[in-house]
Amino acid sequence: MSGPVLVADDIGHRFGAHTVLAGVRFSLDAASFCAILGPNGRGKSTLLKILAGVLAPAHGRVRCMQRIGWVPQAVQPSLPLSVIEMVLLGRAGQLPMFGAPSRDDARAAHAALARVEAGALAGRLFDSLSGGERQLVLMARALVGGARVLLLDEPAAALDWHNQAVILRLLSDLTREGLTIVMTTHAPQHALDFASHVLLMPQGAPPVFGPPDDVMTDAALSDLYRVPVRRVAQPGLPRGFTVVPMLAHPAHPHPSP
Amino acid sequence: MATVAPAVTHAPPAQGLGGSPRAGWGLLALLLVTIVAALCAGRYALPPSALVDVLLADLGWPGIEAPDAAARIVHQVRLPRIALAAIVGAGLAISGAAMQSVFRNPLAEPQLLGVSSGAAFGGVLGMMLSAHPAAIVLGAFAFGLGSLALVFWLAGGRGGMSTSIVLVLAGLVVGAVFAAGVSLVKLVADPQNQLPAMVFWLMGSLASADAAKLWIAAPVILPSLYLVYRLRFALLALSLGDEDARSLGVPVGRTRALALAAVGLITAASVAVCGIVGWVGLVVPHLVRLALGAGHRMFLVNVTLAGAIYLIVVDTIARAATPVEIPLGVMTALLGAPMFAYLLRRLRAGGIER
Amino acid sequence: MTRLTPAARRRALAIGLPACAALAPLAGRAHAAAAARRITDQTGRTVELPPVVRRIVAITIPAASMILCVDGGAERLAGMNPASRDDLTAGLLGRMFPAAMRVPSDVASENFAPNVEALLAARPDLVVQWGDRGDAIVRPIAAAGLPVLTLRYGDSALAGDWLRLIGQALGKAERGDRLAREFDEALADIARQGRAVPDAGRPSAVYFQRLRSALVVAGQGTSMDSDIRRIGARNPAGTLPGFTPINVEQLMAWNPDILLLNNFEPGLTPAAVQADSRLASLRAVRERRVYAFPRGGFRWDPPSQESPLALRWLQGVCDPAGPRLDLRAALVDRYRDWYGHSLSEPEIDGILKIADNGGSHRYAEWFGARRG
Repeated sequence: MSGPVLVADDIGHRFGAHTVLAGVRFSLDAASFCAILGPNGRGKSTLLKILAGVLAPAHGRVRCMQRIGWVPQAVQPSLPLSVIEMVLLGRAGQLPMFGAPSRDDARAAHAALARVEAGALAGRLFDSLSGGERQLVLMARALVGGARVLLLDEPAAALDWHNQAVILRLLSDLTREGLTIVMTTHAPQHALDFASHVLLMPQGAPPVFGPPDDVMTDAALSDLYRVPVRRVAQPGLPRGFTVVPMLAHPAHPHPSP
Repeated sequence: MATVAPAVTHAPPAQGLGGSPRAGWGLLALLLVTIVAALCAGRYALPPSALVDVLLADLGWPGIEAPDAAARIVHQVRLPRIALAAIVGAGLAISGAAMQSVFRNPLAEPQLLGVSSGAAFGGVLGMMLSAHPAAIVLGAFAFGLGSLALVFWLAGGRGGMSTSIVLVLAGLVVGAVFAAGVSLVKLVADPQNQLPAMVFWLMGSLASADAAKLWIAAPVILPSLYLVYRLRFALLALSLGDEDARSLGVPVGRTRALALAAVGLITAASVAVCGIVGWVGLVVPHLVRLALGAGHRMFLVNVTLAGAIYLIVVDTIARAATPVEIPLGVMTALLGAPMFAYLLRRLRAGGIER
Repeated sequence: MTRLTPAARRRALAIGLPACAALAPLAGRAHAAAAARRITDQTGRTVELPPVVRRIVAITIPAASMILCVDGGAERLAGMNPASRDDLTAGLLGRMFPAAMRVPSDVASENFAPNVEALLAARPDLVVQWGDRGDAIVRPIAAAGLPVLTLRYGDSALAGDWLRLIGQALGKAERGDRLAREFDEALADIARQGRAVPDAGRPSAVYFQRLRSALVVAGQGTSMDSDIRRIGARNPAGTLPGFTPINVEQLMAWNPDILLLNNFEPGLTPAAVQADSRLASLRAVRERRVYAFPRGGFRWDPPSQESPLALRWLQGVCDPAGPRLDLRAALVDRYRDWYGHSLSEPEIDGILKIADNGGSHRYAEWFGARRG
């Protein structure tokens, strides 16, 4: 399928008088991997919710040509769900209001779990899983609904390196299968190693969208995180380099308001 | 090839998809046993042979003469009471489960909606204005439904974007207003005759259960019960939270409105036929979860059956344990509160139970 | 101002002082006499009364009707229980003593809690109140400086003493004592006859404080329970505490011989009970031994000055042979003495509820008007 699958059209949002987003514009084709970078409180999660259709933007609109699956950062079920039930819930959108999942739905749920290599977790209580396992289950839930666009809110945030690797490599595999991935992250390295597109959301300046090579300059990242950021060459990495924050360095020359 | 991180936690395995139907069949059998046992129990000594005679005569068995007193006891006293206890118990239990899903809180129960307070007010008002027993039932039902409409109106949604918190607050407000109304009615009621009757009715009782009340309660409670059962999957989604459920494509507002309408109908009908009976909606879902697991496929079925069994047992104790007719609401509180305390300790000790 | 000459002053003192001295003891005795009226009430309190009680408030029931009986009228009745007004309208007392209908009834609420302001406005010399329901309903009256006469409840026999106390308070001790003596003698007689009933011949009777909305029966500690036992019958509900709710099954398990209906529930008649299908298999219903308590000057179910007649009635309906005396004649005689009223036949029919009870077992035969 050619052409964009996810288009954000001048999206803006505010909570009361406080403007959280302004002027977000981008267009993603199929099989893209977009990382949204920015420090806390800059509206990353809000933007993701708007893209997922969970929140209505104050300004602008989202156009999505395929089914969206949303993977939240954390889910707090108030009842003791089993893992397979959590995945099954991904089919809720396809069922009528009074409907209940069928055997086909159950088979699809098991298949989705298997796709994320978490088939062994099926009978476990969702609450008993580790952070990484929960992310896998939530991804399976998004996939079982037939989503071709996955929106993930900080999927690697609380995970150790091994689990980060598992999740990100899985997302990469999915893009090779033609899915579109949009995820927010704190770690620029995730974007450098995996993303085909990056959306930077700096404070007090319009968002910047484009391939990582173009967008993720030292200056742009330093501005974004308000800490000096420098490239460090490292052969073996997908782009041959990574970026490090100079946390111990004295004050940034361009202090932000 | 991605590999799954090794399991760090060693929690016991949960039910797979939704609990085996075996538990449901077991509960059904237990319900039948309970009904038979309840038919045998009571202050009037009914020998099982007499009970058998009565039942056989009902089925048209030739040549069986049921003794008059025994037939009256079975048909007019015990059977209506047991049937009503089953229906009300099932309704209240499933309402409790629905409330716990909708409000994402294990402490939620039907009284939170304020409908029982409204129905209580309608009942005592009917008692004050008329001596006819129908006045109580009609008044309770009318005001119960009215308070449900009031809660929805206050919360600003008819399938709209009303949030759970707003609904809880609306329920609290409506409940408080009608509770004050009940006190007011008690103040101006005739203390010799009406007031004691009101106090007794408010404590809940199935002592005046008869066929007429069955005809009122069953057509309201049973379909509502079925409605909640059909919503079970959507309610499961709702228990994750509004945002998450919405992102899954579940019509959150409409589902919530339908579920709460069903709960309101069940509550209003229950109060109309037997006064205020609490703790059933709170305790039974947790008991079922503890004993049989929470798999959604069978959970609500199990809760329904367990609720029926529970209230039959409690009502049988209330009417048969002592010569005094203990009010049902008092019994459910006396049994329910300690049970819930025990459940709380299990919940705290072992995390969420299987 | 006249000026007394020194001599006149001396003379005045000479006469005046001894005169005062002579009169002093008299004045002292009169003062002592004014403070000397004390009576001991039923809870053992000593009540200080003024020499003449002109205004008396009756918070207890049936003190108001007792005062009408002892005093012969409502002149000294300054306040009564709101329920007493109901009694006056429904019973004969309102017609016998129309002035009583104008007596204020806001001095207390129906649960005997006193309204102190209304009490003080009634300016009573004495207030009659229950003494065995807690100090909270007595203390406010005493704190307002009003003398309180407290009574006890729980047995019809106590009512005889009420007559005596009210008689003393109203300065009609002779009448009060006589009425009390006749009361006590009548009850003693009934009790003696009750004891003489052989055990095998004791019928079982249940009194319903409520029947239509729920079944509430009179158990231990109620006056109805002691009345049933006094006349020689059995009360199956006697093991239960006070007025207790029961269910139909328990009633069917007891299967009493006689059902006694209260005077409080509107629409409660033997016909209504006979028509209740759940009670149809009870022995009492099949034999039509369902009787509504009569209502004379006062309801006959709780204790009152008319308890001797009420107990004779109760004895009559519980005895398979019927009443041992002519109740109608006794009514005429007693009402003349108690209230100075001549009862007509239709009035007696009304008191005994011939219309409601007429369909019950042998009631018309036992209590109906004699023809011819």
